[in-house]
Amino acid sequence: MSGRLSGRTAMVVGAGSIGPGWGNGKATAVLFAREGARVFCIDINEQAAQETVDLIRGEGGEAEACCADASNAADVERAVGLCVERFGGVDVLDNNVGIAEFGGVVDLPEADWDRVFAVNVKSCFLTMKHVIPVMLRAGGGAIVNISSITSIRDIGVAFVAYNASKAAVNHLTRATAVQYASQRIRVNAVLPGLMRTPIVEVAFDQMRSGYDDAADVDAMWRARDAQVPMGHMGDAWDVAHTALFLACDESRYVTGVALPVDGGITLKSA
Amino acid sequence: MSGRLSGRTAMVVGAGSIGPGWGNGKATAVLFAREGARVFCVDLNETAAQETAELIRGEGGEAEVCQADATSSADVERAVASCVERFGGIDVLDNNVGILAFGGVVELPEAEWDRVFAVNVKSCFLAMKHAIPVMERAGGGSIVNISSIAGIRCMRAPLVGYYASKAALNHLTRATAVEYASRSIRVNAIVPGLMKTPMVEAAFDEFGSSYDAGDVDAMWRARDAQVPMGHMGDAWDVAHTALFLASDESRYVTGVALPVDGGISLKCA
Repeated sequence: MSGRLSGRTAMVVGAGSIGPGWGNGKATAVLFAREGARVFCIDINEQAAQETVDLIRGEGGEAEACCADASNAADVERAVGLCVERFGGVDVLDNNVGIAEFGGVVDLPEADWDRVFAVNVKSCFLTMKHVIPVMLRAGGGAIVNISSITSIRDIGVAFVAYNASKAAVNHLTRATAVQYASQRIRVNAVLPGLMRTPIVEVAFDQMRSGYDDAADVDAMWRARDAQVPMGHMGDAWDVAHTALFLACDESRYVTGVALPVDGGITLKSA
Repeated sequence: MSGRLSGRTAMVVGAGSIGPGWGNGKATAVLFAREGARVFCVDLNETAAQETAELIRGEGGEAEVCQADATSSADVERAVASCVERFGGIDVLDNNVGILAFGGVVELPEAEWDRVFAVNVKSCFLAMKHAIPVMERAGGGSIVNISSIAGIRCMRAPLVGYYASKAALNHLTRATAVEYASRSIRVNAIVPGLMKTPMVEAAFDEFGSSYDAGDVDAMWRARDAQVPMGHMGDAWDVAHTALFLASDESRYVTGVALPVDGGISLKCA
């Protein structure tokens, strides 16, 4: 183990995976632990968080599970308090929670708009609100917010709330980066492109039920691969390794960036 | 050693430092070697390249020196061939050469404009032109071009040739990234901010006046104060980012222009 995070405590919000396989948060939590971090695994689904914790412990790492709703201020405050109590601080905060609701401004119900913004942006606001004072007392820290290329491009699907909320995450990231740069807290965003992760698998499975022919769904996967200059979707480990770079001291002079991890898809116009 | 580049060959163009201390290329060459790469150190100044190679060998690493002008097609072709002959291929190409040229469009002599574009952009064109076929034969590779925030923002000093050449480098990076994405060759740029490196120190005579600084230390203080983090970066910041982009950890990252700037590009004046 090279220990690029050894001695550090990382809080991963959305550390569970929504389905079998590797989601971004789960892979990031496990990778952080492999690099020596103690990992505080938060998820709204306690079982999912526990599964990530069990994986980390099974590899000899240190982790703790915490069930919390990242869009709820009291839950987040409690979670941060528990992490400090259990591990003594928070050196790295990795924000992974996110949801998508289909629809343009006309179709999308207001309640869905509110929920998407609560889960995708307010979760970052709340976790940073409660974690930053802890980091300041310790003399610094690194925050990684998982955004999306949909924050800077239209990908052909009507997801207005998702797209707008991720753009808000990007600029929340920049504004907070500037404010805390001189206090040794770095804040960066990762912009994954078209990924093959459980959250997308679940969405595709839901679509699958609307098809008579499962081959149509496989055709959707192939179409996604074909959209990318690299010729294939990315996976959770691509996001995890980028989060590791941004979380560790190797990126000590990097703050406020929105870093695409997208196989080149944002480089192209239609 | 964690060996994030073990078994790889890295060609670092501009691997020497223009003065005492650590330039971006020198730090990057040494860091790549620490991570297990064989490093082919190319520089216009053979003594500077030799110093970097000796540092690497002194730490138990493997390095070779090559004197070449990165703006000369014949030199670059020869350097690439020497690297292949010596180390069997090129897995990583790191382009570090760059010069400053002070002046706006009215003041800057045409010859200076041509020279800054040759050194800052054409060097990358030539290095990629000759290294990419080698990478393709091996099934892939990673290219890191060192750009500057001067390619995306205007700083205090009038540096039109530098600004425009770095912007060209960013888009050369993107265009080449798209073209070779499906062939497992990644191309990325690093966008360093205000750095404390030998090149900037060497340019004090020109830079000093734009900072109204009587000496180098006054210039350093003024530059520190411009940055949200409160200080300039150094060559190791660039080197560690180059390592991330060179290694498989960034295997799904291509065509990015990644600022390493302590937050300065986030702010208006």
